[in-house]
Amino acid sequence: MRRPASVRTPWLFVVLLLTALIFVGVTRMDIAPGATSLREVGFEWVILLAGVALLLGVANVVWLHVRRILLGQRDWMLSLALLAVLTAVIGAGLLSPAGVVNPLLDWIFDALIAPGQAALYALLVFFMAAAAFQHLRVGRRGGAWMLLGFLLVLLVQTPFDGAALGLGEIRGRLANATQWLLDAPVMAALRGVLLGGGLALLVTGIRLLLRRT
Amino acid sequence: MATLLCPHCGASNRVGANFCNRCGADLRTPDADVGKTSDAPAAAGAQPSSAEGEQPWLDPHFLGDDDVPFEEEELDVSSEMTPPTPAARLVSGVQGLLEPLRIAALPEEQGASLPSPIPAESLLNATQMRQVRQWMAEETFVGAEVQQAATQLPKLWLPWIFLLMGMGVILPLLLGQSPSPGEPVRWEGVESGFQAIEALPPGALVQVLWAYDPATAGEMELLAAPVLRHLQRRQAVLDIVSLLPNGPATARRLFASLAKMRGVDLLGIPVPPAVDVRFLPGGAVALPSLGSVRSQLAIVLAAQPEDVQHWLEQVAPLNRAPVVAVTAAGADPPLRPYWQSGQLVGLVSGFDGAYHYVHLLDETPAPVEPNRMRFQFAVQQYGALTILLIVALGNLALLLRGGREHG
Repeated sequence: MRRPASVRTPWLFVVLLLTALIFVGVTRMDIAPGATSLREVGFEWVILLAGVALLLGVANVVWLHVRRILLGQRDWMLSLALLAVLTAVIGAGLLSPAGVVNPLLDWIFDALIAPGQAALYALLVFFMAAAAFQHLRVGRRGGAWMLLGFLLVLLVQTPFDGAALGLGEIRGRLANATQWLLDAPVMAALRGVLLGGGLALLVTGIRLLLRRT
Repeated sequence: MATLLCPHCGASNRVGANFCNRCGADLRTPDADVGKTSDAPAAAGAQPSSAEGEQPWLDPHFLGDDDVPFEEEELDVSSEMTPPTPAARLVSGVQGLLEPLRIAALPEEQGASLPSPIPAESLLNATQMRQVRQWMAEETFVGAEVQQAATQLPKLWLPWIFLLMGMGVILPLLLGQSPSPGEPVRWEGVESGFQAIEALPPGALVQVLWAYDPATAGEMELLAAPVLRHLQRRQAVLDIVSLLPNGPATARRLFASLAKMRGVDLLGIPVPPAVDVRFLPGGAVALPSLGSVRSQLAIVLAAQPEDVQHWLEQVAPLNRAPVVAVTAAGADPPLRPYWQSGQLVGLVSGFDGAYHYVHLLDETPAPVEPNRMRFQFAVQQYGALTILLIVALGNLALLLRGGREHG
């Protein structure tokens, strides 16, 4: 008799069973006395494990780039720069008595990380503009509907000067119409998708536990 | 190691596998179990050497160990009284690779003695053959058309669109004056969120999930600042946690700026010298550990709706603390049902929410703050108008081209 393909080893079944028990435990722990503290210990383990995983990730990055430098692979200078910055940040955090709030780290965050992240995110507006130019067209299939929805949401969400645009009362009605659209058809579809996804996940989990693919 | 060869594509599979790892063919038929098991070295040795060199299967006449000539297979099937019933599957009848269709002989093969499955009169000439080869080397026709349209766009339009968008955003800076911001729509949920914080007694413990980083700080700080100022005015004790590595630093920076630009109404209220913001590694999995904190209110400062949903699913059921979501405008629509169902006691989102929350505070702000808000409103207005212009240009281009397009 062949083994089912879904559960190849008993260990996998044990892990799946444990996952199901933890799921039940997280949601219904209050029924068992003293189980709440057990749950909290479990979550502390999760946080500890995540911290160790983070450290392992850092070690992996260091090893990878050290090897690239030693072998002189392509763009090894970038690896060197990465390791130099990594060493500076970790060294500043470890050596300074102020820890993570020392002035050097504050400067790195304020002068490098924050502007860099904000600038990268701000680039999205250019791609959004290009996408709007390319796809919000009445001649495309369904493009008129997309354009209508886009204009409606933009008109309502943007704090335009309604009086200057001559909208006045119309804008309030548009806001109500948009609200209804979001509440009724859009949200119905969204909830359907969420409900369907949740049911599919549940069924798949049960089938896995029952060793049925 | 013993393996099972797929009868369709010849790939080696683990013994007991139900489907082929490569082509997905059903391996559960009786003939797949019997006589098809072989060791990998033996299978490798069974491959016939041919003139094709290292890839004999490229030869159209190549027959593997498990291949059956078409005519013989037909004979076998017709001779059997009960053909094997295929297993039930969602998509049936499409298994394995398609047999290569020989549409023409190569010019050098035309005089060869190999039997051709196509009549000689239907053979293509050399020019047509080159065209066929070119088509076969390219992607599909639809993909080629789409790719061509996409590659034309950057040459003609993208730089101009980027320039237009950049000018639309920079224009307020160049003009130095901003137009009147107008009155944004007052969505429901702002006032109830304000009331939830207003009802807090002094010294109440409030959990704050800091779920945004500098990437979205431009919008989120405008929202977070009045809410945090309100919490300070109510003298709430804040327990701030972030799942993002840059979250704590972002929070410290905002609190530092709040301390600098405190309004007149806040000057008499003591503010702790340093704000302790914890970083929790592990993402949403670590969130339920916050369920043991018995807070009187939870504030979720999030740029994405998922962070609010995770809090509502994993923390709120544990400590039963009411939740106020302070989110970016893009997160508002998915979160609106949570507010309507009562899972959120307040929903403050986008520039509109920030605008109305500041007015609800009814405090005397520092002079720099109204200017900053007016400036951001103006930038958003110009940006929105520019996008409208770009959309209009796109439709105008379509109109001038005079027709519909594929989409």
